[in-house]
Amino acid sequence: MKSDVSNSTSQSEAFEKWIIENPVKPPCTSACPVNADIQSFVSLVAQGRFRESLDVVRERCTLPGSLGRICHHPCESECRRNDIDGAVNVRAIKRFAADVCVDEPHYAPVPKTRGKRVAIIGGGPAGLTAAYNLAKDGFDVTIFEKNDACGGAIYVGVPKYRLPKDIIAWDVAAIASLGVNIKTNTTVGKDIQFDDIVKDYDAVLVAIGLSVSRSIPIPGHDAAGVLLALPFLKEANFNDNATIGKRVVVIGGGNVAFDVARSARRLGAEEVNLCCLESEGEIPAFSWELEEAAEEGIKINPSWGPKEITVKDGKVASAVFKRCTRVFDENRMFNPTYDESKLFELEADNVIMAIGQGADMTGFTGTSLEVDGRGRITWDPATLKTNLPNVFACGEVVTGPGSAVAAMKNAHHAATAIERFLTTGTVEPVVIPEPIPIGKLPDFTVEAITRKEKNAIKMLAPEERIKSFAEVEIGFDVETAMYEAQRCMNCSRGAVMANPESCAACLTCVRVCPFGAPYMAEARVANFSWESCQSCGICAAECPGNAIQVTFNDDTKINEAIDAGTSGITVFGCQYAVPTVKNPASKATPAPPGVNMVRLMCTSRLDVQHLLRAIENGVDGIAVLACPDDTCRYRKDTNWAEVRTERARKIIDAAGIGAERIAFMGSPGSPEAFSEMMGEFKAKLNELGTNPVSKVLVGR
Amino acid sequence: MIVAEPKSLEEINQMIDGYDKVLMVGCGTCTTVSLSGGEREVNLMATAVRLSRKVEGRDIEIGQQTIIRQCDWEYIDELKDVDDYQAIVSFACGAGIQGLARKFTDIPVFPGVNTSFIGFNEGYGLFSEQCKACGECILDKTGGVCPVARCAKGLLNGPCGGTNNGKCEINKDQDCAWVLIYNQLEGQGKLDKFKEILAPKDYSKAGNIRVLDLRT
Repeated sequence: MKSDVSNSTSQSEAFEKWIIENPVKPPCTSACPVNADIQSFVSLVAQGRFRESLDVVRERCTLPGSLGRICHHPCESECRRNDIDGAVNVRAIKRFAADVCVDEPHYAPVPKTRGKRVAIIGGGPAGLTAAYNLAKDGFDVTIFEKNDACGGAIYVGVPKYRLPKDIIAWDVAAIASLGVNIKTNTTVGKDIQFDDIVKDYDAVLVAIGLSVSRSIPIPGHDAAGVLLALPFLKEANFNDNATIGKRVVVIGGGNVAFDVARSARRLGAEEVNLCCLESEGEIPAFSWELEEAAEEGIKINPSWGPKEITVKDGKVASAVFKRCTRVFDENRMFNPTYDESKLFELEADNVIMAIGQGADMTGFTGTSLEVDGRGRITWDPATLKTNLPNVFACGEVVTGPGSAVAAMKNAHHAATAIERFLTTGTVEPVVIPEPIPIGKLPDFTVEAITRKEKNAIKMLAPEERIKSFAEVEIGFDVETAMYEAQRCMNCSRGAVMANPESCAACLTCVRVCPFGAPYMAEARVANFSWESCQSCGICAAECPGNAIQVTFNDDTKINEAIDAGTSGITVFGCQYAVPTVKNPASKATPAPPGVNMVRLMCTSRLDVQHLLRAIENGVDGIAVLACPDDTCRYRKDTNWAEVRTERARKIIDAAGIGAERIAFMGSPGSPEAFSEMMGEFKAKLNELGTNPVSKVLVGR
Repeated sequence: MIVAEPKSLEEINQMIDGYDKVLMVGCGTCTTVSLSGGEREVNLMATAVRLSRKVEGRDIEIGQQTIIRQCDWEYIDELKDVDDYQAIVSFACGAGIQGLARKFTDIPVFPGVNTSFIGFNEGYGLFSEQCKACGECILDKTGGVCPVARCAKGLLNGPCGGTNNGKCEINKDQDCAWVLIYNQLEGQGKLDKFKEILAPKDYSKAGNIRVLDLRT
């Protein structure tokens, strides 16, 4: 989904339109909490159009550099390539799009045309996401952030080895560049009063997250050496002289507990034990956190609940655990039971509690913002409104703990609610249509798809990792990113019966498709199973009734690209066939001068009609660049591009134009080889002279 | 289905040489299915004609319309602005071409395809002749294999001495129809039919100017 930086359509309207116009989306987009247009940004990376890719990422995933590192990527779990040879590494591609553009300028400020001011309290993933949307919608947005920089939990809590601070700063700078005012070191209730903000701004969004670590009131919990997760992580993140004892026990099994354990290891702890209530299969942290922690020498002890912390000389001596026999009851409610007869003691210099977070509501005490008996903001999840007419809330402070991307989803909704409130003056439930995921790949189609091995993201060796807080993951280089992006199958952008009245039920599409997608539907009109369709376009280019179009690459778009060339050479190629000049700023692949590029999903989409159209437009020559069979992403039982090129050559020869003007070539290996190839072809065309149907005489 | 093949650009150019406003009409049924006269082929031929005229430095305006069938008045009536053109090229079978010629008597109608045969669609782009429209079907006696259409000599009592390991002496890639008939009848346990001598056909039924009236 691309939407221009303009105020004509709001961010939420553009998003809704994108869903409604074509609700069947690939499973990655459906699984993504913010429904990012994953396929588009992956495809742009595959084509070498990195900056455009980054802009598409940011539309929904507003912190591309950060989320490219820490997102738990449900998109990949649902990728249909899992059934073939492994999911497309979407997160690594997203990270690449950000990293490769790190020196690119951000955005020009969006004019504040709406005449309304919005205050956002809290500059974490939720607050920043809302700010991005509302700034793009033309509102005057101010973020009040209590820390010295924005980022919230991912700034204070997420360790540097997972997410370096300069990456967050870069993501924040992009949002600030839209014209968002960011007031850091500004604590509500201390530096500015909440009720004043409510008066001064047309709308207010409370997005303060959960910034206070919880403790467990077991004996010894207040002894010296007992730490809480967030203060500890903050210390590890920002104090270069931070230290920790040699023996550390971490209580908790969530992702924060693993961040704590792995940070302790990096600060010099030699023996780190993590103890959690949950049994091995129930540990709530992501599976890769468990693996990476184990690699780093952290001992994971499941099914142990904290009983007491023993104290010697006023300091922690050990942590004692009792066997946890069950965490959740029959109703899936948290209700642990223990076998007190089974105890487990770990000597420790430090015990760190990582058992959950709560909101810091101190800045709101005694204000007009209503909270319930448990101190939680009174909030309507449908309208995202609080008790106050112009105050909304979003993110973990109201939804409870979750992922950063889930908080961002809620923030998109909040931005929608605020945009509508400030536009219409009314507050309505925010109902955003959910995309419908395309179904599984049928077995027949799985068999027909060319295998293309997955690239995993590389990591530092565990023994290197524990020496410092250096980033553990190593991003893709250009070649790897483009290769990996080219593995995307472009699900759900396939063939459609565009002109049913032109369908002669001839079965040509059924016969030429290698994937089993076309079938004869009722009323004897061909239809297409998008579960099977790979969007290659063979059927559209063979249909004798011109009845079929391919959503990704319809004739309107292709003909526009063809019509851009009226002299020189027009090149038809697979969108991935022509090597790109790897310039992050490139809006499109730079082509040698005098060369018009027409990119198809696959050259199998090439239609004889396309070739004749280009000749009729007056180009002197056409080069068809098809991938070699061994790198083609589609199975090639017939080299359709070659067959059609030959037919077009015969037709123009009969018309007196000369078959030599259309050449079928292989895909060049590099931009240099491409330029050379075009140079040679141009020399040959010069010998032939100008296309006799050309109205424009081109100086050579 | 009626199978046709596109005429060459050269032949079409000769037919329309004196005209500079031509309507090309595709047929949405048989010639579309036989990949010779549907919307795609009409567009390819129209483009080819325009290109060749440009090479000669002459202009031509070509209209393109494809209707469901050119062998029904009701569909022919869907053609628009036909009077704007000086000539019509029809991409239907002979019946359709003549349909247009009967409807638009003031405008010359030219064939865009050669009507080939009544055929079977063997697979993508491959058609084989199966029926001569003889008017007196004997497929009940020949195991569902037509010797009139598929025997090179049209023998009613075969095979001839030229049968060779199941192939025809005229074309070694062509199955001998009478071997096919034998095998089919043998498989059905009906070889006794093979001994039945077929009487000469009544060729008057395949005579000229046939009209079939099924109204009563």
